[in-house]
Amino acid sequence: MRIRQGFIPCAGRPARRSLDCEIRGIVKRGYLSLPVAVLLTIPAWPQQKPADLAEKSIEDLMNMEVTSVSKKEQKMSRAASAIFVITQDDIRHSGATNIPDLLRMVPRMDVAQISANTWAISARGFNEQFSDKLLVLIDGRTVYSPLNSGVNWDTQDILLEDIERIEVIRGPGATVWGANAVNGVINITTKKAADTHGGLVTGGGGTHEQGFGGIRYGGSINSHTGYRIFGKYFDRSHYLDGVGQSGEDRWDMLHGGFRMDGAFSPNDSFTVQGDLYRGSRGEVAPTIGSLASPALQTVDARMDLNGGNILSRWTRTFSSHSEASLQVYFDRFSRQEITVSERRDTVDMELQHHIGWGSRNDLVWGLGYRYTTDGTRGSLRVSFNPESRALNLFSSFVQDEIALQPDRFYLTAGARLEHKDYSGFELEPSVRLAWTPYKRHMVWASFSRAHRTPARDDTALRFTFAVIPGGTPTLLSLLGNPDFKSEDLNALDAGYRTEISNRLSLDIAVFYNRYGSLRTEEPAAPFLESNPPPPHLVIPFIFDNKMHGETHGIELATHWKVTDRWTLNPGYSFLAVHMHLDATSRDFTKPADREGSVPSHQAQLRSHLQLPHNLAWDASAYFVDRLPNQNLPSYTRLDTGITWQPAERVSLSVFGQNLLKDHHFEFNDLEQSGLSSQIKRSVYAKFAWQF
Amino acid sequence: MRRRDRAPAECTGRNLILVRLVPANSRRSCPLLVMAICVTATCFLFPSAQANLPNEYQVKAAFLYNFAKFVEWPPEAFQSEKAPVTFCVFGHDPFGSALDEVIRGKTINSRELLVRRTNELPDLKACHLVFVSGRENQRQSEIINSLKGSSALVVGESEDFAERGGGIQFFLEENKIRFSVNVDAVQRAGLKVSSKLLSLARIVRDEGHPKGD
Repeated sequence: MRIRQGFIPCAGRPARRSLDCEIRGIVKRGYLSLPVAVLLTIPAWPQQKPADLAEKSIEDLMNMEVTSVSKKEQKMSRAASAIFVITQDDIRHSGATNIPDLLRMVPRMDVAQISANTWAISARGFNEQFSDKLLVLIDGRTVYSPLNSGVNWDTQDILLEDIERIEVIRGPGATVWGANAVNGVINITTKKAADTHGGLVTGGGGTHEQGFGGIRYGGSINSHTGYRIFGKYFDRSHYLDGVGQSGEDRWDMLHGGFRMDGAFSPNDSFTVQGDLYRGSRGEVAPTIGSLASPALQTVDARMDLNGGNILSRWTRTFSSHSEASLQVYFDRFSRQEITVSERRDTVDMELQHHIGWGSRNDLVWGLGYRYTTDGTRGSLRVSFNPESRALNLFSSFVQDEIALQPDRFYLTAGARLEHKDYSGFELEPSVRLAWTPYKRHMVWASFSRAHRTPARDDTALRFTFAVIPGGTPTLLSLLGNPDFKSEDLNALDAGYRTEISNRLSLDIAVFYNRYGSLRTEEPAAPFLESNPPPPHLVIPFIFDNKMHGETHGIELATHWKVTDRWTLNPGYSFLAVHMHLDATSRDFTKPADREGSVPSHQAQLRSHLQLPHNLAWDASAYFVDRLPNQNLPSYTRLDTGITWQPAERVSLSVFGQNLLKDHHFEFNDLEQSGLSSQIKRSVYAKFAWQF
Repeated sequence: MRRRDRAPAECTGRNLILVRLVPANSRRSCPLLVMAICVTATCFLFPSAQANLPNEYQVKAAFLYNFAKFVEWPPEAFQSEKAPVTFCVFGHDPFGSALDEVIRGKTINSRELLVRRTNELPDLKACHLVFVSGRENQRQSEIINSLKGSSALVVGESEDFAERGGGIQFFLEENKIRFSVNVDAVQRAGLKVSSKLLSLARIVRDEGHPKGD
């Protein structure tokens, strides 16, 4: 018998190694003795010796899994706030296809999906479609709308593979980030151009995701400058409403953009990025056709969305202690729908200087100016008076981190002063303490004040929510109040962060928030109106600031590396909301509405398991307690998927979402723009190829 | 598709290969089940089987040896034709004996290999490959700057090490070791890096970007 090179003779048939020969012999002798043989051979299986490793090729070394000792320099965050960072790994393992779904993994982010294209997202309570107490930034560009202080989640669409990290800070971040960062700040950072060299193609489809794809290419222009360009498209189908009819909530978006990072001197770096998008979404929207045959009708409304932005930032280093940056961006968008349309242009300029002062002070200060102008076109259902308005915002802030005892005790104090057209001057101070008694344990506490400044809807809105037909039709409408004041918050936060071992870390945060001047809708004297004809009676409910209250709760996030291959992330949060009306208020339903629109308990568990043959299995489960004021029961969401990497630069994955129930409602509030639909179980498959 | 070395040591899943060697036409599945149970039970009886995953620094030591194989130093980097290639570990040494064992008895272009450990920046002038562990990340700018004129290959593992001018940076992806090469830094040092090494690396260029965010 001719033995092929590399093989050894083994009782009649060549074997690759002596171990194979041995095993074959064992098997032949009857497989019931195999377990015994296995038990006997275990001690003989050799450890990898360093000298053996030196024989391996570099490709083999890159394929070896190792037990990590250096634990990716995740220096425990010294931030004295309830901060949660969603990394690119978390994004991949979650199987989420949009940013709202990613936010579910953050404890006490209240994420409720209203329809296939709309979400109610807030932090620590006050959740509604246009939650006004959350500030969202993408690479330094603010994305909330001054029309209603809410975030248009339907147009915040980023190639998820381009996201470097998402920092979610629960609690007021007004001092550094600005007004509207009342309950939380979400800071999305995309990867630098240098980190996205080469090409990437992704694509997929499924039962709900009818088709999606993205392409990105990055390279260098010269040794100092890198760039990337990307394009992406998705098309999502509709969900069904409560009676099984289509929710008409299809959603599609075509989006492209670029980013360029470079340096024009060793001390000057710059970045320029821009996006353009065009898409549409649908909803079943209650609307008022005309007053002649008055009735609130529901129509299949389609909203056309398009816009673009361009941002540039120049950073200059003066010394190893001093760095300044100047950022300018321009943003334009348009949202056109039958009930209301908004067109907005924003220009924003911001200067920031970070300077280490003496050996114990780390100071940041900044100046900013924002100009935003809108044009709205309303209908009998929703309108703004005036239809167009330009707003100026001047802001300045200063914050100093003082090392009271270096490496142990830090005090951060700061304040922000803003001037807005509606609210005049407003001061938002904060004080934070961070104490690291032992190397891996940190305790922090903070006190801050924040304001939610009036938006266009608070002062200029007219929203008709009911119509009583008759000879003289009667409209029940919400009206804005030009004298509306800012809502305010005094917040006390504290937390404890620890790395119990290399494998287990824990982050606990507790908070107590006192709110004042919260928005209520006060009934006022009815008046007759003759325009548009026919003459009709209007019963107004005027916005006012006559509610106050408090919320408190606790949030827990854990990161547990159970084995080298298996990671678990359990989390839990509890929130209690208690609202009270001022003595003169007559908005009797508002407190219960606020108290019952967020779940008291939320829990989550995410699991990531590396399997052999380059497979990985991910699962995420989220429990959301009931919403008593909306009569919605509690639900548990389960997403799970398998990812396979057949080669270094290719990955294939299949994910199922909302697997536990065929369909369920998550949010149903009277002040939504469209009707809620039921979120359905779905599956999708995706591939990604890097070249 | 790369042919993969069957590492015999792991317990999870690979043991079941033995089950498959049983003839396929066997209709006696019960003993198969018993065997499967016995085999997986051994995983729990011998938890140390998991420790057979190589230690991160053992593998990184092998990487350093490979880097030296695929990099060409300028002739003036060596004092003579017989001068050894010197690996220096600056500051904290995470390798233990792994680096010494990897290079024992090996040569590169008929030069011997030598490992030195030092805490003094001036000593690094005589080194061809300098390794800076993650623990030294406070001093990383200092180290990179002091090596700017030399022809040493500086290898590190802290975040942004390559972007700030280091030659090669290790990072972990799904528990596997990867590395990025700053092609501007290695060019400045007069080093020639083989295209084979570059094809496996993530390429990084210099950034004017100074203090991190």
